[in-house]
Amino acid sequence: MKGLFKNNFCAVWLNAKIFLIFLFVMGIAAAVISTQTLQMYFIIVGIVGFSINAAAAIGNEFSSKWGKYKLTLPVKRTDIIKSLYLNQFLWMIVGVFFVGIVTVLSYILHGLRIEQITDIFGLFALGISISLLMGAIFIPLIYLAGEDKIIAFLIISLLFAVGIASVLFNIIDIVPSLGTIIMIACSLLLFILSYPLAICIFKKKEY
Amino acid sequence: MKNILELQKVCKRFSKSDFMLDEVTFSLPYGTILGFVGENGAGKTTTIGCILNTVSKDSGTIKLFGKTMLDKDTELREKIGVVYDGNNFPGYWTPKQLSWIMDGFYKQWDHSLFLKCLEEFQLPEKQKIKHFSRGMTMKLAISVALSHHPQLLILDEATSGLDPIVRDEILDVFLDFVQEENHSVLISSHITSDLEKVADYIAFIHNGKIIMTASKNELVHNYAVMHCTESQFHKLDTSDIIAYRKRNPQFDVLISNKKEVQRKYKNIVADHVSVDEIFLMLVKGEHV
Repeated sequence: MKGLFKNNFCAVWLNAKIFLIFLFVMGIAAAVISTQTLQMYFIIVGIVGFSINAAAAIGNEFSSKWGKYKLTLPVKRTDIIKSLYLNQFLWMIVGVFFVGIVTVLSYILHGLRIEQITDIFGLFALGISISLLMGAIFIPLIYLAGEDKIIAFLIISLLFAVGIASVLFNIIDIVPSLGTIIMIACSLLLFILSYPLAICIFKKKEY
Repeated sequence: MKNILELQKVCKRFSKSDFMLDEVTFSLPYGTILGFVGENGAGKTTTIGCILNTVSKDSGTIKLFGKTMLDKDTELREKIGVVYDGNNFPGYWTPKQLSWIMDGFYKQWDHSLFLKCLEEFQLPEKQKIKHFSRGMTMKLAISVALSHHPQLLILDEATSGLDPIVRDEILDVFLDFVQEENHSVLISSHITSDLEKVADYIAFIHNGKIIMTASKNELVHNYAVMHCTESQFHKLDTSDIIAYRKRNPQFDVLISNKKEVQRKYKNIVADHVSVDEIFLMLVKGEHV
């Protein structure tokens, strides 16, 4: 697993460092400029962006024979999939932390810009939900339908994730306090359920 | 003689094509190099895929180090070094990063040996792999394959597309590797001259079927091509003919018992035959 983590980190870091610079600049703007729209935009982009980077990194591996080569290394197929899910989850956490720091900074500088604290949690939940759902759809899909269509599947996964997350987001309107937890729990459940499905697909995959 | 690798009647059929591996059987003894020869699409990569579990076989048995290797048998894969044709690693890595990553995969990863290999092959440690030439990427892949102290090297078309100097360098590495008697190499190629230089055994595959396995010494010393006229050809004992080709006005006949045949047919010339010619005769020639 150590090798897989190192491998995943190197693959994601390639693009994540550029994204981090972009997010850093955007974070300063979001903290300094007092606009609610920018703040909201920053929360969603920050969390989802890191997850997109993590997902896109899987695609980079298939530009060479590395995806096939990995199967000849002393790792189990199950561990390869497990590492991808953990990687997806960890980068989402990185996004949450990064956005969280900027949000706190913004609060210290200007006070709470978004009217209610539940709205902020709602946005965090929406970002987390989109990230989890995108991973849940994307990972099994690329192994099922082909690694050569990464970009198309990434877009499809993201759009589906946004669609499902938007439906779940309505729960927050109905039950504001509990809605955030329900939304994250549902997304997490789908993320967890997609893991055995991805393993099942990958175990049959031939290269 | 103990075998490091054994394939027994391995079959694999693909639903989307007519191609199939048809009872592929061969073995690789410890301390030897086996050349796996076949034209493009003959089934070399599929066979290697079955050995390495990147392709699942339909039937038959494959034993590595005397055991069937399942997905969970990571200990067995510690002992195998693999080199594929082309880009084995993502181009955005440097050899230095590659070593850091491989150290996480292999318990026996030897960074100093890897650096020594890079130095021997004159590969830059900090240059991105995407800037490497084809020869350099193959040398890098071989360096990786050697740096965890494997016992078995499996190379799929590792020398194709390389210039003769690089090929020669790489072949020397394989010869060095099998100096240790518990080391072996399986090398697939359609460049038969390479295999003639290094292989102890050669297995020929055609249309998914092994058409011949023999030791190189046997091929060199016992195999020959007789050039005979039509009347001479008709007088030959059919048991002496492995394959023949009609090349007007003469017949070329592949035989496997050179000395005996020369004694038997004194007025027919039997020439030395290369592995390439043997393969051509077996594939393109007619059989009695």
